[in-house]
Amino acid sequence: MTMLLTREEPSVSAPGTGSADSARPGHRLDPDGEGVEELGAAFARGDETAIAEAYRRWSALVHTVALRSLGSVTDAEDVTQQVFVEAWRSRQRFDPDKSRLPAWLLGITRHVVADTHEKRARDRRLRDKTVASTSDRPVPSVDARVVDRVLVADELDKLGDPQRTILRLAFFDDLTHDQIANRLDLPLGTVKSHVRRSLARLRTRWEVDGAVR
Amino acid sequence: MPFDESHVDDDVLALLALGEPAGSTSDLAHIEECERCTDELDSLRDVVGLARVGAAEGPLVAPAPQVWDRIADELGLESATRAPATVVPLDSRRRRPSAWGWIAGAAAAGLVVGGGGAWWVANRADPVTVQATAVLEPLPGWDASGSAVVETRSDGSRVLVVDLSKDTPSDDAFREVWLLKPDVSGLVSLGTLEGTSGRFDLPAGLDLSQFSVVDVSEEQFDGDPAHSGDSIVRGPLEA
Repeated sequence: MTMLLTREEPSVSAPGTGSADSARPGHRLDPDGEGVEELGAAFARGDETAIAEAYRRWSALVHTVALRSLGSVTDAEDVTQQVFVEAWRSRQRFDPDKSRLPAWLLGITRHVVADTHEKRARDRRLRDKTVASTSDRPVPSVDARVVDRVLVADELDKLGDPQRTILRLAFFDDLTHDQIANRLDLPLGTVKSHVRRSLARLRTRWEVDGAVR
Repeated sequence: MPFDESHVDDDVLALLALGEPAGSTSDLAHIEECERCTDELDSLRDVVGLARVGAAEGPLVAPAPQVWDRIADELGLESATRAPATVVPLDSRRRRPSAWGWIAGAAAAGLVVGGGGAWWVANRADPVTVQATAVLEPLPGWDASGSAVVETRSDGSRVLVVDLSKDTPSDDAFREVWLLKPDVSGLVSLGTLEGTSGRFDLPAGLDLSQFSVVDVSEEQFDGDPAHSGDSIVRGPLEA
């Protein structure tokens, strides 16, 4: 069936919207939204709409990683600000042909979070020198896997149903695949293939966006 | 590798990664011996562990709106760039407070009629107006039905919320949401629909008086971006 295809450019994501042909597969398969490569290229060029769009897409990811790592909203907001400011100022060092913008942003996030932990430890040492140590709480260590957990959990959240329900029943209710098939009234083979493919999808997201260590 | 007889089936590895007692004795013996299968199982177990802990930690948390303002100030961004990032938090696009289900349900039951009068949801940080609704009827060969609601946020941006009565799961096809002209002389793709409900940002310049029909189609993975012609449900938007 041949029909006129009117493709309206979303006003917000102008830099990130590729041609219909290249955007189409990405739209479904890319967890980071359409035209990540084009958005990365626009970002590297210094297109100001690209940082706005990058913030729209990935600030929650950056902020959540910081929040889980540092346990403080104020610190997480500061980290989010630092990450996007640093990313923009050092955009010449970002190579859109070699890396994806969300992976790069998360790489910066790891550094800024680690710096914040170091600063906290330094402040604590200074304080402990002057004040009798009232706080015996251990310094929270940098958890290298926060990014991985946030990415995988986010991708789980993005799975459609029944895939998301199947995985949640397996993860949190400890149901076996035949119990899940019974519960959801789905064929056993369907549940098995959903489990396999959904796990693969979670892993791909983690590999694609969490690659920078 | 599903087509490689010499390795353990990926379905079995996935179930083992979840901790199920899956696989035959010879499968398990093979994994013991096989580096590839062992690595694959370890990697899947890692994903399962990350997901279990990660999901328990809760959904993504968007930063407060002023964080973007601080960034834009610090970088001296043009004011024109600033509007877009009055952010739609990633999280809220997927997971709506229960109010949404209620609106969609009420719309499906024909209770919400905008009729030009604004209909505000007062208990939200970013109040929205329901601008139009559609009752989605099945096309021949399908038995799903549903509803669609166009909501307008305070910044003027619009979202189409689609809810179907039932999923139409298929391993080799997906659903796509469109807005059509009533005579089907033109159409705009809004994106793919996973599960039974989805939210789709509407481009600012899109004229809903022209593209006034909501359509959900089944599409094959054939790389062809055009409408397949196989519509599941369809219905006109009405104010």
